[in-house]
Amino acid sequence: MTDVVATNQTILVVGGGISGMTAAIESAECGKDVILVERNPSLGGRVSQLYRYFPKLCKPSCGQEINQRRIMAHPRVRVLTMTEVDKIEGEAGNYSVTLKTAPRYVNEKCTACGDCAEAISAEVDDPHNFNMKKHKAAYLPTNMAAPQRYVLDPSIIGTEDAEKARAACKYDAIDLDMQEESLSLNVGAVIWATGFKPYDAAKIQPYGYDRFDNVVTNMEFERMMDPFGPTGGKLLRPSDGKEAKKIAFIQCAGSRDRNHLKHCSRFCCMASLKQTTYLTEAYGDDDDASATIYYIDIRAIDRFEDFYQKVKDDKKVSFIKSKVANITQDRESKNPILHGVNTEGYHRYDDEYDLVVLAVGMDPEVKADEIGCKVAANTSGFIDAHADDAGCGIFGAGCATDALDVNRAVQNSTAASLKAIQVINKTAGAEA
Amino acid sequence: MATREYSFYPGCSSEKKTSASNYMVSVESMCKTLDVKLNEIPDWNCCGASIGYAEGGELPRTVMNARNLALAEEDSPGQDIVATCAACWLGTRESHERLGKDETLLNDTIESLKEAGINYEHKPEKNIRHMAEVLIEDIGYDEIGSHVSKPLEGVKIAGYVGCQTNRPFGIHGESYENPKYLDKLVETLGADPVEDYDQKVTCCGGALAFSEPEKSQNQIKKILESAYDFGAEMIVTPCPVCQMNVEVYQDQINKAHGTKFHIPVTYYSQLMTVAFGGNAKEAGLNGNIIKAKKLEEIAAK
Repeated sequence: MTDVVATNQTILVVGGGISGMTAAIESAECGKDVILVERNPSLGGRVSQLYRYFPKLCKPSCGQEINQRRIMAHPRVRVLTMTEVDKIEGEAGNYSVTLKTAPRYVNEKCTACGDCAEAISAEVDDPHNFNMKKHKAAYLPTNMAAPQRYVLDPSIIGTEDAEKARAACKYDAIDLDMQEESLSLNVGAVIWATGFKPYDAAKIQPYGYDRFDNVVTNMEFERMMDPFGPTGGKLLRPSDGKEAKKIAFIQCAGSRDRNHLKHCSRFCCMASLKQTTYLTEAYGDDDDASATIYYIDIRAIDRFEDFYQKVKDDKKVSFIKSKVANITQDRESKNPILHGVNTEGYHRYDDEYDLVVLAVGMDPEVKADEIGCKVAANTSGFIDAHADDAGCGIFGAGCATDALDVNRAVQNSTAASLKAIQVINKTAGAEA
Repeated sequence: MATREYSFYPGCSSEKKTSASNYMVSVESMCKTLDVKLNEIPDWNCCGASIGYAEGGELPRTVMNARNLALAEEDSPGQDIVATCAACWLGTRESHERLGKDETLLNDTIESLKEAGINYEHKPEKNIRHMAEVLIEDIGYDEIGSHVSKPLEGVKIAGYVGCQTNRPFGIHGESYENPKYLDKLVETLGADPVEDYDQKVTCCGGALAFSEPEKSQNQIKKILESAYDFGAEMIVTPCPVCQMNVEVYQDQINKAHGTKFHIPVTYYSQLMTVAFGGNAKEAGLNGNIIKAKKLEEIAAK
């Protein structure tokens, strides 16, 4: 760790998701030195949890691989995983930053052969799959993990399993004595790209996410389609493992609601429209498969209008203009039942489904006012990019600044990169 | 001196010969064991209840509650006000919050009460609490459990929370769709809670039991059915109106729907009194129309 070199001409990028990776590549390819820190053991962030992108329906793993290769190969980018910013002080052109790196217990000799996982029995929750499944306590975070290196869960340190894992490693890659490390750096500018977390669905109590097995979130639904996910790529109900064919999507679940998130999260309409195509993918022309979207208004704006029209033409998909009042559960079948009023005609409904997907919105992963150093927060806790503070060299990128889809997050990160580069150029010019 | 002391607002349903007089009897027994002293507000008046919201108007409703607040402060300065009735608690707490936020309403209220020779001074720090809050927050499950001498073993009890202790204020930290405090209390007393009871926050119909009997009995039927489906032998509630509605209309519902509902509906304080070793009389079990036989048996042991 001592070989990390940084100066006031270095850009620190916080967060290794799609936004942070974009900002890091853009900055490095413009000739700037970059340190990219990521709290998780792997780069990839939220995008790595998605099954398909809208509107083209391609798989994120493709672009992600290209990004990861560019980053890992670039001599100007230094990646530190399992690392968080502990403290940050200073001003544009001169920040002192303290980083904290959690022990991975696996060093760079790891070849990702997997012998350590084979050797142990302890299992822990798998956060990549929203804890819908467990994995071994010696694990590769995802198949696409960058770096391709195993991690030992701290819960097994000091147990027999840790010793078994170490003994199983042919490459001497397991180091059970690793400790948390602290690192102080000097950097010129910071790009803050800590992204979003899905709004806590349990808080939307009338929808019973905390009580009913067959009420899931849109992000969990993405994981279900992944062949390596908790259901092996099938749309199976959590309560009984049966195929879910009649599926409801509830839009604005916790968004545009003064009791929850006031803002529109922008991506959820398109995400649900996209997810209706998963039914065709899973069941082909099966007449029993259907998707019903409960919505306030569909916000598929601009170039997404075509996609919306295409979904509307799908016989499997229907739309009900209504904010669902509450969900109850049929005691025998565990089917969720949606209650509310269809505002087009004012009809009450009590509609039963196999599975309900809550289109939950975005909360900032890190609240902007907790960052410090004059970073301004907007009313939803994201970084306020419009608060024009000339002294601030910390620039928000991607979903740290607002609820954005991937496309807009990437554009936003490119802009953040340019702002950071300007600070560095100014600093360099003043010194020359 | 008692360990804990509160200014107490019993409310009309707790008066002698009214529907919840047995609630009051059991609360007194319960408080004796818990060493809680209740200082009844002298000459307290009605909280306005549903009429206050329907026809009474905001000012009269607020003035009535403010009168109780002023009398409580005069009699027991600085003490939290505790109500056993859900409606009394809700009305008093809501009026108190409104008075803190609406200056015109506050001035009008002060003016009105002056006419009656009462001086209302608004104290924002005053807490208006339901007895359930006192039990959970001040006393706690552990201490309650330590007084249990006759655990209610083998009795399956559905915790019916109702609406007024649940919305809009609720019990701090509890979910308002699935509050669990009654279940925890039932468990503390040695009985078996019905964890999956899915009608625990369904409205009992409240005052509509008189004006819209069909609709409110439809609600009550759901509350009873679910308790039966989950094998409950008894329902427990923190609210006098919930207790009354769910208990007394069982016969009418049976007649209308051909059902055979016959399930006792008790107060938490009755369960506690029996579990604390009190007899049937101390627990006010004679006031239940549908006899809580299991409790009577345990109390007689």
